Amino acid sequence: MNEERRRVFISGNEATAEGGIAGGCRHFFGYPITPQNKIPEYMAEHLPPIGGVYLQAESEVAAINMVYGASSAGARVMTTSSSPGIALMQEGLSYMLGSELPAVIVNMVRGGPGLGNVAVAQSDYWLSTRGAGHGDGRCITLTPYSVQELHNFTAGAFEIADRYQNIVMVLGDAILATMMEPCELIPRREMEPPGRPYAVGPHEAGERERNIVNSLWVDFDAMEAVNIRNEERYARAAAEITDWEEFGSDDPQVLLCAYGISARLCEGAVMRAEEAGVRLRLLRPKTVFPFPTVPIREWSERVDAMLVVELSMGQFVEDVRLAVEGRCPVDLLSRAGGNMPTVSEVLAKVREVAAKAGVAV
Amino acid sequence: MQAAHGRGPAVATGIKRVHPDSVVFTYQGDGDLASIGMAEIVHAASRGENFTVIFINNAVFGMTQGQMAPTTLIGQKTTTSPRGRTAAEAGWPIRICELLDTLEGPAYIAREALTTPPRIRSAKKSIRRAFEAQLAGEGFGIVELLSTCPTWWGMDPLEAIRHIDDTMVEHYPLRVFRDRPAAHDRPAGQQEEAGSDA
Ligand SMILES: Cc1ncc(C[n+]2csc(CCOP(=O)(O)OP(=O)(O)O)c2C)c(N)n1
Ligand SMILES: [Mg+2]
Repeated sequence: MNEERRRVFISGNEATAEGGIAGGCRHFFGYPITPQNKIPEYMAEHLPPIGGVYLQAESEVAAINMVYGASSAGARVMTTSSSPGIALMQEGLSYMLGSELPAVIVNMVRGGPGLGNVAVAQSDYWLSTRGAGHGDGRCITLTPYSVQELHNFTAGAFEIADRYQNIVMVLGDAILATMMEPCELIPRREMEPPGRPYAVGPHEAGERERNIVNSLWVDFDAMEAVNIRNEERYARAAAEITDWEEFGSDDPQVLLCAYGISARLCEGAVMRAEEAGVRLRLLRPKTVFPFPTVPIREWSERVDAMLVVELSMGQFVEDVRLAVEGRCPVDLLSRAGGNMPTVSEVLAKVREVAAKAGVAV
Repeated sequence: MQAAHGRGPAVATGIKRVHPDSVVFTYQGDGDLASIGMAEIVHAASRGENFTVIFINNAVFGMTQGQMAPTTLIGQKTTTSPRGRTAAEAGWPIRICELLDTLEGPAYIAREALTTPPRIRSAKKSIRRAFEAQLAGEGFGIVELLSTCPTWWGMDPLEAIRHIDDTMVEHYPLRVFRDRPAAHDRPAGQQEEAGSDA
């Protein structure tokens, strides 16, 4: 598309909502929860005038099942929520993974567990990458780190969801949701007619086989076949869409690993690396499932140590350690509850980690 | 004790079943009780759980910044019904007292409005009566209180009070719907028999 792209100054929530519309989504089901209320409000404002559907569900449990229904009917559909609401959606996610249906879910993560608070957190990493309720299913998980990426990733998530017939989770947080930045808007894509090959819906007699959307497989082999098919999807996704970005020294002593808003912070640390007297590089995953295992493993053979920065007590760090497999020390700097480390604190930790690993600092 | 959104009646059930002699009540908004918590309130009421529900109906999700609630009136503008609620898109506003009044379980059901001094005095009486029902072991009591939300109604406080008296009460009539011991109450002897089945 060579339409001129409009550049606007908007919040992460608005960029996400507009990203959904740009990605061809015309069906939105949601339930209010801070810090992402501007997304359903934006959809309520913008979808009906363009022939779309905005519906406020009675709960997140209902919202995700409306998504399940709309997806089985072949629509590009999304819902958005924040941590406690995403927790309630787990059953629906599991059913959708069992039924091999696409959908886009955005989680603007807030502090927890419990009602927690409405401040920034990254403590739903496991919920996204391991969660999706019970059973063997996984959510493809994208980790934007700016308002622009929230927009782009949400728009692009529909293609990914369709390609793998799988849920795509966009993992934001309370800061990304509410902060404002310039954002270049992707032109709105037209709604796809809801005629997917697997979808239920009206069709002429004899035109095709009757489709059945189902996640109940009493037969052991039939159930296992679903699990195997899902694993094959994830293997394909790992080969095709694993994404990350690197920034900093080409010959680093310490590799910083962070995603989302923490990566934003770590960029600042890399820019001020001389203050720590350590050659520093940042690797920031843009997908955490599939996880950039390969580049992290490669760096683990070349750096003296890694430092993971995350706003939870240590979830993402486990995937980094699985990739590193003990080849170098992996340390963790974590804050929680809405707190964030400062760039200076990151640099102080870098010095400590480097010294422990025997780097002369 | 802070329950998850909408789950107050289930949590209160747990507390009351551990401490039957304690006074237990929930305090719930209309989004909480009539939207996400609809299942919990209906079943607690149906079981005739011996606690009291204070139900604040301001026809809007206040805490989360003014979204439509199940109780939002037709035509009312909210942040998620920016052109006004329509029945075609979002259905009709739910009358909780009338709905619970179809059940055998509740002992006391009333709707009051927190507007004028006489109405506030009446509300106090209903609240008192609902707690007395609990103390007497009569079972489930709920008092719905029509309350203002000037911020998300876009009104000043006086306008908001007038809005309740002029408009809201038309859809939500003020009434004591029920004031009697729960229908499931039986003589003591029968209750023991029922217990021995378990
Ligand atoms: C599972 C879950 N979903 C959403 C929320 C966000 N939330 C907090 S309060 C509330 C509703 C507020 O409306 P209401 O119950 O009517 O109370 P009011 O603020 O109007 O008094 C919502 C949706 C939450 N806390 N938990
Ligand atoms: Mg309310």
